[in-house]
Amino acid sequence: MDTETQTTRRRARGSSEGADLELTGICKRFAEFIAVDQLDLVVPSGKFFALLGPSGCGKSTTLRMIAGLEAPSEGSISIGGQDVTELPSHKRPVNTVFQSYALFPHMSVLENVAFGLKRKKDREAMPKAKAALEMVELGHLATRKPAQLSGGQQQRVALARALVNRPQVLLLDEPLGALDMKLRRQMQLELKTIQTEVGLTFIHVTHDQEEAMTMADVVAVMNEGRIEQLGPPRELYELPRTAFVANFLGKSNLMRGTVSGQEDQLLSVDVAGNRILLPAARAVATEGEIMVGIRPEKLQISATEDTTAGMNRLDGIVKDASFTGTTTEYLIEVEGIGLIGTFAQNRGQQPGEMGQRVFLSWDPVHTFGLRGSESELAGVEEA
Amino acid sequence: MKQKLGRWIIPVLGGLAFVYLLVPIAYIFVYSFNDAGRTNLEWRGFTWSNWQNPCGAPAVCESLVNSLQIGLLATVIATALGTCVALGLVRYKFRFRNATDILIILPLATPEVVLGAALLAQFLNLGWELGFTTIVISHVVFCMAFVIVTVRARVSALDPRLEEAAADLYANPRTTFWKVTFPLLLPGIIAAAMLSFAMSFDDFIITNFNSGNVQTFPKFIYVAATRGIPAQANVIGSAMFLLALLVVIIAQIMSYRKRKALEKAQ
Repeated sequence: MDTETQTTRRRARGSSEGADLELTGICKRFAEFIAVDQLDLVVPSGKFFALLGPSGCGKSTTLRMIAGLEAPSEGSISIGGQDVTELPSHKRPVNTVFQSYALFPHMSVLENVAFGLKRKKDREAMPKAKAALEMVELGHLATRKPAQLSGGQQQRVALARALVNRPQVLLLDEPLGALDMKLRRQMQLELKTIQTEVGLTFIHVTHDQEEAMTMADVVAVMNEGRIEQLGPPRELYELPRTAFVANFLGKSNLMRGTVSGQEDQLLSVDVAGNRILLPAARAVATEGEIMVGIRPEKLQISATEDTTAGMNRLDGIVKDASFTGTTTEYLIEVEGIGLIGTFAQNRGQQPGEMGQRVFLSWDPVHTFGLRGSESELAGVEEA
Repeated sequence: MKQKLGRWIIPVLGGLAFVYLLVPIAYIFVYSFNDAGRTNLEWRGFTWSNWQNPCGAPAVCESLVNSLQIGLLATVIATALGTCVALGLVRYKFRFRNATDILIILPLATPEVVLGAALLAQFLNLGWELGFTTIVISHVVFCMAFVIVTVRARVSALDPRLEEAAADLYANPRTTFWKVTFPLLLPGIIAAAMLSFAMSFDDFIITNFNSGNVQTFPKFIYVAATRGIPAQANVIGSAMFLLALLVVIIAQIMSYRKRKALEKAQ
């Protein structure tokens, strides 16, 4: 982007501050089905917040309740300290970029963008709308009808139409879902840049974990109407607190074991006869049967045994090795545990072939511990 | 040989079907130029006089004006009420909605004589004098059913997210309706209104039950037929036909231009 468009962008948006969004005890029931269950959430002003979860987890319903398009069965919503629970949609300082864009087909692109400003009786509706279109680099298509634009262009119009109103909170309902991969990546960067520049509170709903992680400051992983875990992307990835998060956000090797002792903040866990070390602070449960987890990329795979002291070690037979160019992905059958996935960077070596015995090792600090009562398959199918 | 036959048979049959469809209309059109005497059954020579003086025959134009007034009024009422019902049926869930759906089709399925007689019974019970008002009320009954069916299809096709988007962009329910819902339904509403007007304009059976002394155009023709339809009736019929044709052609040209503009833009 050149500097001139940068300046137009800034001028188009001016300075506007986002506001804190607070959901307290939100429930949404449809007949017999509970879409959102006792949800408490605080989104601090100016953050890029992602609601991540599989379809049907209640993330879109939550967004619709914030927009006022759906009334919560229980609980309250406040924006910037003001209770908006009873406020109808058109009176809330919130704008939405819809999944289907929902552009008005009978209006020109410019009229679409000016719609919100005109409702607010803004005298400069047209110039502001034009500037907003320039901002998304669509100034030259102002007189077109939405049907005459490509998917990516429609997406930009939808974004301009929402942003031009400078809402306190901008809601994005899977706005990139309909775009192809390349355009999607490009728009992700665009959106992130715009958010940083305008400093508005963005709430982005998505089922794409990569999208959530690259864009958001804070991610809330939702499942079955509840928030499983909330935090910065790195924290969620490195230290998942539930099996669902461990599996939905990236991949994890989960193994069942029994805590056999503790020394120096390190739990030792007996996993099918192997002694696995785990920092006590990284475990949700520290007694009895627990689940031990390790991300595949943290594992070292080698044809010879690693004898460094204090490392976790397993060994097994290579069941599958698939070469992808930059890496080779392995599935290793470990006796008493099952299949463990890992991959090795292509540095010219070839640590193991099909049917060969290999040795796995990793630093205990990467291990995480989950409740033993969980299913190791939670979230696998949805991801 | 066989192939040759196959190549000819469809255009020939198609042509014959068209001739079959258009002969009565062509007859009306041609005989509107007939220098008719008492009856307009045999050709007596070409004249412009019928077209120059379409109100020449007694009562032709009075009945036409009546029909136009009734048609317009019934259309306006039926379109307004029918659009509201169509919106309600699609957008709101209520008890007996499915039953209501079926009840709405009923006036369309009921034989016209039965509907006409039933309406007459109601007016007689109420002691209302038959005339202009009772005709309009009767026409609204069946026109509304057509409007509901036509507009409902359009409402179902309307993406409810557009209305949500309007609400999200600070439009109150009234503005949302006039700025978004109504313009998007307009093509359906116009189609419904045109259909409604056409149904009202040429209704004879129901009108005949409920019109009293008021003469409508179809009634006039029906009565005139027994003693010879004046050539002026042919003029009015032809003019109506040409007008309808013109509307269709304009609509075609407009949609063609729109499509071209769209193609050009992409």
